[in-house]
Amino acid sequence: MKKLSKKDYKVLGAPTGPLRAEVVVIGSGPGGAITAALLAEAGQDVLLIEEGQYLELESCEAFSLDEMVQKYRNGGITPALGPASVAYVEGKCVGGGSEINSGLYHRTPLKIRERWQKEFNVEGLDDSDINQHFEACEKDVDVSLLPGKAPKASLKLHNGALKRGWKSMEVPRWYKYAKGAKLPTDGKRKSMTRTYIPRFLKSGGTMLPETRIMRLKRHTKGWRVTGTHKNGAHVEIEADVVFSCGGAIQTPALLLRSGINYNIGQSLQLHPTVKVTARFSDVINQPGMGVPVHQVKEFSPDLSFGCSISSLPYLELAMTDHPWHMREVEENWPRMGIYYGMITTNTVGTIRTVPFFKDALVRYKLNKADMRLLSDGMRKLCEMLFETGAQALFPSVRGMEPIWTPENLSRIPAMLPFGKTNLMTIHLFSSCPMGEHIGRTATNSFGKVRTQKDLYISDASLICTAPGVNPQGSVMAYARRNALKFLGKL
Amino acid sequence: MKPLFESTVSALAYSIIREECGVYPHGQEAELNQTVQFVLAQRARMPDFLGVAMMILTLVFAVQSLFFYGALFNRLSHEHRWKHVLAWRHSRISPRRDLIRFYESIAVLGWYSFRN
Ligand SMILES: Cc1cc2nc3c(=O)[nH]c(=O)nc-3n(C[C@H](O)[C@H](O)[C@H](O)COP(=O)(O)OP(=O)(O)OC[C@H]3O[C@@H](n4cnc5c(N)ncnc54)[C@H](O)[C@@H]3O)c2cc1C
Repeated sequence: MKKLSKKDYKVLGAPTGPLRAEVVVIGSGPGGAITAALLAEAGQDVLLIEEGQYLELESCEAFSLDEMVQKYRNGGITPALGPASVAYVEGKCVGGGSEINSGLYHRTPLKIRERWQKEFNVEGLDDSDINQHFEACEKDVDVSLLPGKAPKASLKLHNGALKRGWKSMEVPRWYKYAKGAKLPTDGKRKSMTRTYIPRFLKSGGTMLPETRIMRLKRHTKGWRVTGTHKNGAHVEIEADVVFSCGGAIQTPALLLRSGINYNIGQSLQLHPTVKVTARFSDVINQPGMGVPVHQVKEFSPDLSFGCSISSLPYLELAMTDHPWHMREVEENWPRMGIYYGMITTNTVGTIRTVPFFKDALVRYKLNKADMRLLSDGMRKLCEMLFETGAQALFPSVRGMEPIWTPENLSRIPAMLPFGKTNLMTIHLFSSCPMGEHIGRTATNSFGKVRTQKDLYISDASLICTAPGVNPQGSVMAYARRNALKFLGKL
Repeated sequence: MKPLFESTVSALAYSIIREECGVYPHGQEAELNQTVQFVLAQRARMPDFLGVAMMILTLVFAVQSLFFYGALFNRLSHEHRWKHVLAWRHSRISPRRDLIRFYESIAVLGWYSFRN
């Protein structure tokens, strides 16, 4: 097949009339980008539609306000409502979440896959079936370890865990380092706009950015896909096959708006996360520190720990739970870092459409057992941080006294308070689970929507339950597997 | 409604930055204005139904100060404004606490990003 050069890439502006494609892929995150690239490379006529803008990875500084405005859905202000609301964020740009994330890579742990096989009857998850997809994706996005020393804030947690005898590891990332690179900051993140999107366009695929798909309608000959371009133009596309790849919130929202609801949007899962800001006596933080890469997996999948982005604005934000201590950040921020404890639970949430409104209502009802597990996580995190020399710890619980010594750990209540604990997550999944268990799943094991002809899902919604690890590695592998199955190549 | 909403958000953001970040509005007006614009824009970007709820609640917050201090929130002295903010921050009614938390987070994040 003839590969196109950049000037021949087909990236459309606002369409002036109806469009047609054999396959329409809605959403260009890891799920959609891989699906679109593999189908286009196999010679299919593919139109990839994305609500957000098509921007270079460097269009803004990572983890900045500009990035929130350019690349996050709703500017990053998206709560899952419940007795304790969980703030979550999603990407909205070509490449989806891969353009704004940290690139930390995991395969789906074997235990989790076994659970999905048992409870959801998912086919094709044995090592012999799935490892080839993990391996192929790892090669495509250059999953690798840091060339030099990890940031100090990351090593602090690692050392604290080792001192307690707990398992801690450096997590590889999708990063390409030049030969001989010595510093972690010498690499380039291999997001979708650097990998599968150019592959898709080189293979003759067409992209329509800045277009939000609102509805899918089945008719005798195929699908009518309708939406709105950013400039207000109505967009209408005829397609034989549709892949919905809008992510774990937007895919169910789109299907529900389209009247497709069997096991859709009823089983959302996420990784509720609490944070602790730590102050040390030595310098651990600096501008452009880079992404911390260590994770403590001793208690995985129930509990995992890591270090977050700890720039001055984020440190100040974290300290709004402790307003009396906010001013000390200005003096001490080089000695401060933000750490997290993340839990895996069986609690599920829902996604609903709201009459007369465009955005989806997301609810997630944490229970007392979850709040107890979060408390356990917070305590263990504090123990590690004290072990590695922390002088003061500020938990993300409004009004809770700072923790100055290990003896103060008793201040952490056995169950974190619902109304005062600040919870967040960046991992969303399971809203349209896959498998052969008809009562529990929305699609078959390969993403085909159970109640519809020629309609597929390929994104984080398919992941059956919270995997307890960063999910993009799983999203990519299942997207690859499902695309090859669709093409009859498995 | 819109002017009242915008001047309330602006007054609230100024009060938060002054009280929590220790900043007096002399000499740093440009960054403060940028922060206020950012707070207003973030409210407008929220999921649509939540944005409407937040706007209504902000207006309730603005008007309620009439009953306690005899003037709309944006016309109060800094001391009275801050008393009103604290009353909502420590309220037993969770939407009131959430309102303050929302503006506080965005104002603080905005201020420290623009100032640097
Ligand atoms: C800040 C952050 C950090 C993260 N860090 C990591 C990490 O280090 N490692 C890891 O493994 N995972 C990480 N994740 C999670 C990871 O990014 C997601 O799991 C992954 O991006 C999910 O891929 P997806 O294809 O399901 O959906 P998304 O990446 O969410 O992509 C969906 C795309 O579809 C578009 N879309 C949605 N609805 C429509 C519509 N109706 N019409 C048109 N377009 C639509 C959206 O705009 C979006 O661009 C992080 C996420 C965030 C937000």
